[in-house]
Amino acid sequence: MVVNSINFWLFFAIVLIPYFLFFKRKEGQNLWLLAASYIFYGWADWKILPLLVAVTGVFYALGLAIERHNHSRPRLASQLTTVGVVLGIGILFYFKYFGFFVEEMSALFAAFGLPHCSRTLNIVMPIGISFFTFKLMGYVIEVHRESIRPTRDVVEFATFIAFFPTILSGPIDRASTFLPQLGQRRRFSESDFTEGLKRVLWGMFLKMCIADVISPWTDAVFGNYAHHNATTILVAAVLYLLQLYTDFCGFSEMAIGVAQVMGLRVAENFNRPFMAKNVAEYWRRWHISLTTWITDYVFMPLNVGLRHWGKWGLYVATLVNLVVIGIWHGANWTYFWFGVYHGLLLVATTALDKPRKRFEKRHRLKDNELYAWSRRLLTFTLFAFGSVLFRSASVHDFLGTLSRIPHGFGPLYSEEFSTIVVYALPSIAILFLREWSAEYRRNVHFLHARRTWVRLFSIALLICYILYCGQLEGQSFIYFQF
Amino acid sequence: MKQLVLKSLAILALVAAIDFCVGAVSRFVCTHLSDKLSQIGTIQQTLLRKTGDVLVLGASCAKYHYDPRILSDSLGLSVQNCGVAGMNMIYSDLVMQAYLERCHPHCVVIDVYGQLDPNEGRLSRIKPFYGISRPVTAYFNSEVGWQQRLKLCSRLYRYNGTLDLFLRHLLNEPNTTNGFAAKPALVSRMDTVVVSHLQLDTAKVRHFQNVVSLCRRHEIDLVMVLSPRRYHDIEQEAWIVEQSRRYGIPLINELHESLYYSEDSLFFDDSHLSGRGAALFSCRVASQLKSFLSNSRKGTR
Amino acid sequence: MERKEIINQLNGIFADVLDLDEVNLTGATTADDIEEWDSLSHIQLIVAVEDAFDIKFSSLEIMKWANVGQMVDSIERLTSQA
Repeated sequence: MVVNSINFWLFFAIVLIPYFLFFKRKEGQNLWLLAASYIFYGWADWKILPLLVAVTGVFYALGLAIERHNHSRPRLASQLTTVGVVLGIGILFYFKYFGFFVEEMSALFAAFGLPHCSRTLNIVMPIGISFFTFKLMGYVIEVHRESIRPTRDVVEFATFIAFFPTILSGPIDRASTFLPQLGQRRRFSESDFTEGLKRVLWGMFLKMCIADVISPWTDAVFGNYAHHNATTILVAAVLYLLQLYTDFCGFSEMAIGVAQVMGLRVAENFNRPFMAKNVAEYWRRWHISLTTWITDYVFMPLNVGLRHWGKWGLYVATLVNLVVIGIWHGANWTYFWFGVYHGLLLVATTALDKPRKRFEKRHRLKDNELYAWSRRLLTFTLFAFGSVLFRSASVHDFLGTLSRIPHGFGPLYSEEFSTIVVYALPSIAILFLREWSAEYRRNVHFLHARRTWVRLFSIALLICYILYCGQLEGQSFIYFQF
Repeated sequence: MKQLVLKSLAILALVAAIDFCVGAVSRFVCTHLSDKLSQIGTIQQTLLRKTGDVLVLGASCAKYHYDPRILSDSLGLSVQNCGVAGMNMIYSDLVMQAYLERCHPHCVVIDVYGQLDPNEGRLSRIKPFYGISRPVTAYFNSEVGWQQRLKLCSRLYRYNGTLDLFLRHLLNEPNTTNGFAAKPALVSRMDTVVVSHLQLDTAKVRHFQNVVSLCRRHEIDLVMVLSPRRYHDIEQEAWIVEQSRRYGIPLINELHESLYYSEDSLFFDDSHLSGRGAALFSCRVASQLKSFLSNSRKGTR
Repeated sequence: MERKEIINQLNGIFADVLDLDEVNLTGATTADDIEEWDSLSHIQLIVAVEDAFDIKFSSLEIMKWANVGQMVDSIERLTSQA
């Protein structure tokens, strides 16, 4: 059930009306929300629902136990935290990486002529597992670090984990910001309601007018790369990065918006990544809820632990950080190399930081717009290149795709490209106009204009635009597979 | 709260107004397209305008393989190619019904291969003709879910995605108006691949049976054809042969004719012939069709 | 060592590492208050503080800090042990 479907809105209406009208206390609201979330998740994958309920119970108990022993028996508290992290990673490993691991091992055994089993395991990965296990692990670590106090209300905790707008594909929320909100009764607020719906509308625009319009064409190119020339491959790389952004940002906007309608603030996930001037900044603006999670729980401990190695400690931590982000996406060597690629870029960015600043000072480039835009272009290009690796089904396919580039330029693959020219390009222009104006704080408002009639007109026009130009036959989201 | 309701109503009214205006303009354009070989042009012509003694139904194979000039010269009848790339049996059935409202064809040639696959294809491209063409309207009213019908109330939804079709129609050169398009020849070598994984969509099978019964009821000669292809599913072929036997429909099977496979340039890709291949194919189909038709005339007399 | 004394010394270390002219830390100062104080310079700060006071923090301790005051608590505790 995706947000851009009639079924979802029926479901949401059924959830929302009693949520505000009948439940006058937070306990009732939380219980109702939890029931709705379990039904929602069960709808997507009912077989995994018992697992979700069970791990929720285990982590709830772990949280309480860690707090009890944090001061009296710090060693036990550390061990309990380790149990939580190992359990979280174990679940993730079993469903996401075990099949791949076994296959790679048997291939390795076969290469050395050792006995091996060639049977492939068919473990179906439950949807959303990468998102909720991260929430669970973050919770116990935070309790151990004493940055939050564990909740005693099991319904509250389960609602935080299974919260239906975010369970399938994030944003990965933090207990420190989300649990306190569940600790209070939510009242209907007109501004939350309208702002939430506007974000949903914007998310639909991103998803249906850009991502889904582009995807048939990029699928055709990458699915058949051997038949395409350099022009087509390069255009496809650029379009695929835009597709990836609008697909995932579109989903996040819808999730955040739906939560806001219910009076709940969810973590932000994107902050205009294409306005980033270097790779480090890009990563701070892209899939923020994941990158901050990994920064807090992987990068920082490593970095602190390796602090006496000087800058090499930082480089190692950076590389590991990005490789973890890469393989979080799935069991495939392409994601591993995607992480290595970005890790090296980030190390280079960090190493060149001081010389760059000196260069900028010497040439007084701080407020030079041309310089800023060429940096943005460079960053975008580096990410577009990385996105080809991300898109490829295997490293072999990636190298195959790259090997098409020296074959020379030629006419662009034009089958169905007219849909991109007619629908995607104007939509991309609208997207960039909005992001550019927000970045430079210019007063180009669409949905947030000060005059009421301008605002109403923009909303009506955007709805009509989506209906007339959007790709309405619902397609799945890229990040559902992670 | 009152403000919120008022604003929502204002947005709704604005959307309805834009919906109505865009709908009226699009409907006018849809019914007044000039004769060109663009996708929407072909759909409009086959659903609303064209007539012919012999109809060729099907998807891309029909469109790229059957040259009506060759067929018409040989048979001495007017021939219309109704193939639209990416369509399926549901479309063929609707076209058949639309033709029967305008004229009475003598013969229907149907290129069945691939038309019964579960994939949706480009069937949604007939949405603009909801409310214009009777068979299309009837199809949506009786066979799609309530959600789809609810969406069809919006004209913006109905004409969703037509903007680039109109533009492509505008940019398309005026061309032959018999529905045929020749494809360029293949550049690289290609091998024949044989697979076996037939999947049938029950709704599409029902529409196939409807075409068969419509032809029976109106005493129209129905002929099935299997075009040559480099990528083919033996189960699908077997299914088609079985249908031909079951309903007593003559079948022209060109799938195994070695003439087509002697030269790579007769193909455009693994499942379509090039212009030269189409010329050869049309000649062969025309002569076989001629003998079928003369036999059936004798039979009825 | 007095808390005030520690904060004074920290002001110098922070100004040095973050390349700023002047830093005025209080117990409630957090990384959000100083633009140059990001996750990268954070580590440099810790190393510099450890060297200056000749102490060694545990990793968990570092992770628990929410503001400068808690960092000062750790320094106080470790220097009094020495």
